[in-house]
Amino acid sequence: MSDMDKQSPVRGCVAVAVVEGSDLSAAVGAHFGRSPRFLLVRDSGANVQALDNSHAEAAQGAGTATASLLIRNGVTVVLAGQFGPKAEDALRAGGILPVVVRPGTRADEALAQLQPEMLRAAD
Amino acid sequence: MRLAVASGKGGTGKTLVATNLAWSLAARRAGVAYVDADVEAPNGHLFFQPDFTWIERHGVPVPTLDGAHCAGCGECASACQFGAIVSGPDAVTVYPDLCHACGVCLRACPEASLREVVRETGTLRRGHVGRMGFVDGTLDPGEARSAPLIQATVALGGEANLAVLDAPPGTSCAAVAAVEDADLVILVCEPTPFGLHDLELSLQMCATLGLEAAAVINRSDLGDSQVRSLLARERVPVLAEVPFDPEIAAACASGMLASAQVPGFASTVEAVADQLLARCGGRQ
Amino acid sequence: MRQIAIVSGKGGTGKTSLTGAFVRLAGRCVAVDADVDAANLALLLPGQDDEWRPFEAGRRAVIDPGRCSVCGACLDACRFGAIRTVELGVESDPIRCEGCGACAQVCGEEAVSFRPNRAGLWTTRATPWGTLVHATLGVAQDSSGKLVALLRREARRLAARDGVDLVLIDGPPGIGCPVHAAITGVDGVVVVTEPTEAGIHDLARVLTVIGHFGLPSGIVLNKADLNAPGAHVVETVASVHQVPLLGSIPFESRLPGLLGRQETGLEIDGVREAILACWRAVGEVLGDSTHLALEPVAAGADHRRSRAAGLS
Repeated sequence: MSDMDKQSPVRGCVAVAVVEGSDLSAAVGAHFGRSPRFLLVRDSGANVQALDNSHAEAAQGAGTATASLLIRNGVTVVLAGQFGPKAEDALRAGGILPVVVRPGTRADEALAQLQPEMLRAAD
Repeated sequence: MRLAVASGKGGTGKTLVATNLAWSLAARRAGVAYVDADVEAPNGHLFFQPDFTWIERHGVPVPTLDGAHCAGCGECASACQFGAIVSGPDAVTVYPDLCHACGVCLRACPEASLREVVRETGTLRRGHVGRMGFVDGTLDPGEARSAPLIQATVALGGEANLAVLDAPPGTSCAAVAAVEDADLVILVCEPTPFGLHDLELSLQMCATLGLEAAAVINRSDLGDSQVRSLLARERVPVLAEVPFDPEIAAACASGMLASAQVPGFASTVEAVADQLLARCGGRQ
Repeated sequence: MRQIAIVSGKGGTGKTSLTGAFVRLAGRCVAVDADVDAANLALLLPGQDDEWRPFEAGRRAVIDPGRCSVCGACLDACRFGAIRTVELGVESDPIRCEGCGACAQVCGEEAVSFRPNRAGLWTTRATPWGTLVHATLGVAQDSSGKLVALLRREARRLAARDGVDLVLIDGPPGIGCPVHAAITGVDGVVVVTEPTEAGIHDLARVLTVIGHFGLPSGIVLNKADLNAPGAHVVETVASVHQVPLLGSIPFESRLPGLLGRQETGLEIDGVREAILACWRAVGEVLGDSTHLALEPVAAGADHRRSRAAGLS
């Protein structure tokens, strides 16, 4: 279990799947469950924190395990290029809204395109 | 005594050897069963039309909350290595096809709220063909994990004195589940480049598991001699060579036992049966 | 980029030979050997392998004999029979261990740790027709689905890098997890079958799986003349499942010998025309969602048609 797993959940947070980088200039990653890192964006972008995904290389069940990780970290909206059916189901069951974004889009641009009602869910 | 008939890949004549060998052994002694553990593609029944005396759905345990209290602590989801359980605010979602039935989540739950229920993944059948026993397992389409059903099939067939196991092809966990407790693994191979490569992998599996291996070379006249060199080098006995015969192919294609149709093939199989009975005579 | 998977319910139907022929007919593609349990496509596609890279999946328990008090709790907790007693305590069998962590959960001495499980090796090969991505899985490894996903990801990356618009996937036999991994998200599936009872039985099962995925598919009947009544049954199964029959290929006893010379049947009169007709039908029947760059082996009448298909 990583340190992040143990962190107490913080309400109102958008997660962005990225391959690398730790600020909002990073590109959105293609696949949710296999994404090695998420940027946790709080306070409308004022607070950005990188969360490494230890499940990216899981033998199986990467999508559902990654969903669990985000649930534990209090995420309410997540952006990625693609979601597997089980991962999407697990995210919704955990109260997280999955949002499909074109892979390669800059994280800040993707966040700017989010509908206001989605952001309300995050605030 | 368990004889596993295996092959590096499908379509080598594994079921041809397993079905005819079982039939020939059953003619020689009582207590012989043909056991089809190739649960993803179980075809042995097509050759025997067995009388089934017992059919049961087989299942694996999966966790469920089932109305019990969930504090949403997420301990179960953190403990699961397979991503099979996801914890929400006050409930869990279980993904049965990812579950390995290891029981870790049950132990992890501080409220002891999880229990296991059986989820069906396939069918087990037992019957007979004349005096030969017959057992097979059939995995439901869409199911990903075959090993528990294979183990159940092998265990059911293991009740016979002499079980001839038709194993899944390859060297995956499915193949290992079928052959791991066999007294002898009969590798059916073809003398082609594909066959050579697949045989190398099968021999590697037997060596890793510490299993004794023997070989039957099928369509022995189509191809080259590299398979024979490999078997000689590895000191694996060749029980029989079966040349390509359109009559064998035709019998198989129409679901008939080739040994009942093709006299030459029948005597080949009988010779293998005699060799095997001589080998296992001392162990019975 | 279009991805086409070639699968078969039953092994030994000639799936890999047909894939090898399709690679040659495509002329330029990225090929994936997704039959990682018995990877044979490389035997038909000459070329030099790049460095083999490890493929890790999951983890395996390791028990520290210095800490173990031989209480036996892990023996009871492990449902896979992986913990066995040895002379000086207990150890975990890496073949049976699934890495679930039950042993660590019950161990009072913190004697259990985990190491990554090396499940196999993978590499790429430059062939005359494009890159081949292939792998070999270790004995008793259960992660072929993940390995197939890795190979396909790499194939897509290479295809994008090299501007290749076709990925051909030689799929595993059966109907299990690796098959799901091989056909997820493809644009079309070619199912190779043979006119035997077993072949027909497994054909119906694999068509059911493909139906679950809602993918366009077509059937190639190989060794068609081996059993004429069976060939009719295949046609019936095809129409029941509403899957088109792409074509039939005659049985050729010389083929096993030719495979040793990395030939795929395209060299044999009669077989070549049959395979070519199948390949053309792949383009036509898998249809609008698939545009194949058909490169005919024999120039002539097929040429214009192929070009047209390539531009559609």
